[in-house]
Amino acid sequence: MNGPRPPRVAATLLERLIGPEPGNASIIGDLHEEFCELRSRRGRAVAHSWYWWQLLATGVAYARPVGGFVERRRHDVRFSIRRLRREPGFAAAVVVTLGLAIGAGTAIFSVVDAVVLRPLPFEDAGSLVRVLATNTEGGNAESDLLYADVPVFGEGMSTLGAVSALSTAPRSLLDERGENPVGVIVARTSGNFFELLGITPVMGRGYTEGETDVGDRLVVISHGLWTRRFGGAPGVIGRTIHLDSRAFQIIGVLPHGSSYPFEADVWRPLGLDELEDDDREAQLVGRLAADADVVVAREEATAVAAALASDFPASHSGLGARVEFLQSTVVRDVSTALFALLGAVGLVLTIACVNTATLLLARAASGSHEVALRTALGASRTRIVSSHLTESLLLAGLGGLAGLLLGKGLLSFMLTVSPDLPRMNTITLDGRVIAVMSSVTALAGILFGVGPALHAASTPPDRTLRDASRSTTPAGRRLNVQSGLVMTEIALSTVLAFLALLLFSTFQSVVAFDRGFDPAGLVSVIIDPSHPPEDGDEQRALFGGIQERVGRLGGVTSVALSSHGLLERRGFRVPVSVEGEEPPIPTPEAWVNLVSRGFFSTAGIDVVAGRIFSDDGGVEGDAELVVNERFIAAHLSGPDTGLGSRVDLDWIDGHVVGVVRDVSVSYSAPAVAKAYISLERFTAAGVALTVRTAESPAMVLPEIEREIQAVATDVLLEDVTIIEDALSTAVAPQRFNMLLAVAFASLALTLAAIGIYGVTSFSVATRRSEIGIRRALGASNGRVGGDVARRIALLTGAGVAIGVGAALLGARFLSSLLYGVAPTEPRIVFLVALVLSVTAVVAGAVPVARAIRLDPTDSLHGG
Amino acid sequence: MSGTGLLGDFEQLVLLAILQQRADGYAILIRREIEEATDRPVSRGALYRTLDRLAAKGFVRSTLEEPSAARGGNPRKRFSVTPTGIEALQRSRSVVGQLSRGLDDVLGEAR
Repeated sequence: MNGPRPPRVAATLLERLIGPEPGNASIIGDLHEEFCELRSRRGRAVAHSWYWWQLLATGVAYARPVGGFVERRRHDVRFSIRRLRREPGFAAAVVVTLGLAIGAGTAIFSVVDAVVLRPLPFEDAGSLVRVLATNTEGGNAESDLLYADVPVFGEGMSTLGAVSALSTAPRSLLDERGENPVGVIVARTSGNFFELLGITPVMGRGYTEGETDVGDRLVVISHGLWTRRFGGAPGVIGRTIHLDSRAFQIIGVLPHGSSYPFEADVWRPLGLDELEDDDREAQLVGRLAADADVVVAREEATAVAAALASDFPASHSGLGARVEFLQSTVVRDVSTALFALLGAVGLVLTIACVNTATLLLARAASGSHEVALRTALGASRTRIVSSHLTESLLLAGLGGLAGLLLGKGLLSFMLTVSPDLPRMNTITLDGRVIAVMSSVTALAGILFGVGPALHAASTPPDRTLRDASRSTTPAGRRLNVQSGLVMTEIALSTVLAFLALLLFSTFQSVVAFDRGFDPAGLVSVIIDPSHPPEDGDEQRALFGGIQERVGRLGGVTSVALSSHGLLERRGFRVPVSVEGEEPPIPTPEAWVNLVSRGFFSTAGIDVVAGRIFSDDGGVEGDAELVVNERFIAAHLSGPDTGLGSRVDLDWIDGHVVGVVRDVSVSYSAPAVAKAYISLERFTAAGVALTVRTAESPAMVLPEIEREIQAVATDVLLEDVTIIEDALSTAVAPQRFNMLLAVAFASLALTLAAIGIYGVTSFSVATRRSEIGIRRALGASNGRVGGDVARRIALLTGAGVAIGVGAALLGARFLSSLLYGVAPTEPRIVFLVALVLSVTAVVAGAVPVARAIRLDPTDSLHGG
Repeated sequence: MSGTGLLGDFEQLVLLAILQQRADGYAILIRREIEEATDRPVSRGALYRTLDRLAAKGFVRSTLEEPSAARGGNPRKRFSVTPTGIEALQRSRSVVGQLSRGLDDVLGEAR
């Protein structure tokens, strides 16, 4: 068959709908003929859209009834549309309720699907693993491997088919002329890295094992870097870039969204000298051999680590290892939070369904006569149920459509305010998300529709037809069901409010965390000269000159120099031995920072004991060491050690003159044992400049950069950071989680309030006669109003009790998200109860007032 | 099978459109004929159901022609009005004519 063809799926469905009789093939032929004509006149897209529309317009309209099934469904749909058009307010309320919940669900699920659920975009991603080193003497905390260990694991583990070493580091990338620096993450890997992961560059090629040995200066760049930096130009292969003043040639570009690690922009082969480096910072990425069992792999990794620890006690003491799938290591930092948010949005959707069911039940009260009439005229129970279910599915479909549109907008907004997530550039609202949310929508429609549908069909018609609004029997039963539903809503809202309060407390604690220094008005800049100073005089001229010029700027109160930036957790790694103490095995370690004398006062780091460097900084003779509290606890906590102790730090030794506060940027990264030594004793290749300003850092920063460039034009400025901004970014995940949880809780509370209002109003309406009689007999406003209020209080109290119980049970799974707050804290429980009580009071105020104002005469006359 | 009773509005239009097509009573052309005359879109599903109904009443007969590649390998159906169908049309026309007598001043002259 030549010529254009209609979309295959639509054509197949059409044939199924219309039926296999030979005569019906002419209908398919007519549509095919019209499709071809339309395609030649209006193009492919219009013709395809038209054909899909014919699936509905002609296929469904003409469909051969299967025992009348299609005919009846058509009737149900027409009937439901007519009914909903008569009640636009009700339909709008349901569609908005569902749309909000499904919209939120769509946005969150899009993120969860792309970040956590979807397999990594590598060949046979399920067999990729990482071997992680652990410190068995440090509570099995993760530690790094040596590059030289990687092939040992590779050879010692028969369950691994291939392994590759990997490490990352931030570098400055410059163009061919050595200008226009930009910060990038560079991944250094073994030569078989791309082959191991099964990544094929979209342009050029990857490097190979042979090129590692020769130490060629070759790089492969990410798709993102190619578009951002090179404008996506095809001629990028062969161009030169500089990484920290070393030239590299670009040989390949990776596909979009298909790179590891995800934050890297440049990949280069590890050189031989690096492979022998004993700096611990290598990752091991491997692929399980065919039919290999990961349990066996874990046992093998433990055995190899134990052998290394036994053979090399000085460097590998306490080494352990574990094997994890690569996918779980990528997402483990965020998966708990994301699944918690998905759970929260699931609760919101459940509340929306319960709310809709309540609305349907309330509406059924007014429609019960119509149902009774249909039943009396011969409609079967099944027919009544299917009719109501069709309406529910129609409402769910409209809500789902609104939700998908809202979800698309919400997702775009979320991506602009969200903290960095792994695989973030692959997050999108695609067919898979639409398919899942459509199924969820259909399920929601059945969930909230089946109850009211069964309820409607179960009421005997004669009773309903006889029943005036005075009798409460069928209405009373309906009220109990509604009350139960509202109590469920309140319980679910309580859970969400609980979660929101916990995350809010966590955020408060994280923000208030004592970092050990004063971040207000602080700025940090890394200064990297192209020609580093060769001696102390040159160093003083260069860095001292910069310090002086910046110090004279208006608004600058203090300037200091250091070997490492304030936000850098570590520094130079050194072994530690204390004079007069038996050296333990393994050799303990600490970190050294070289700092100028004014560093502590500039950064606002308090001295807790002793003093800082003397005027000459201990430049000559015995070095003066200032250590932090963690150093004292780790190395100088003995009875004869402390201030004044002599400490040997490999390339320097000296005596401890002072102790300062621990500095840590985040509660999740506690301080390490650190020793500070005067910068003047050494010649540094580059320094970090820390500046405290009394004015807005953003205003002063450009001037600081200008002053630095005025002293030396060939310096590279990196990591130019306003400290408060960096700290704010560091807590972005907690802020984001908190904001979303609060948003969901607010939505849930609004829905619960609507539910309370609805069921209380219905209760008052159905008991009008009874209330009227009581008022006629002398009941006061207080008695009448109190009765209604008591009912609300019972509902709310029961719902909150159930909700708190459920929240306490579930909160233990969220402990990794919490800081500074325990789920069982009484104040959290109290606040939750308070929030729900206020919600109930606000929601119930109008129905209570209505009950109080009820005129006994009107109610007794059946008004 | 022959039908009794009056034709529905749309049934009349379909029969007349088939007659207008002479030897080319194909569904696509029938539909276009009605759309031109009524200046309104015609649902394909409604047309095919009406053709089925008219065939069941014996007012219309159809022949399947050879399948062709231009129609995706599907045949084409050619419709024609049976003598019974003509009679039904004539009956409906006569009834409309009877009921319209003396109403020229209200309805205007027949065109």
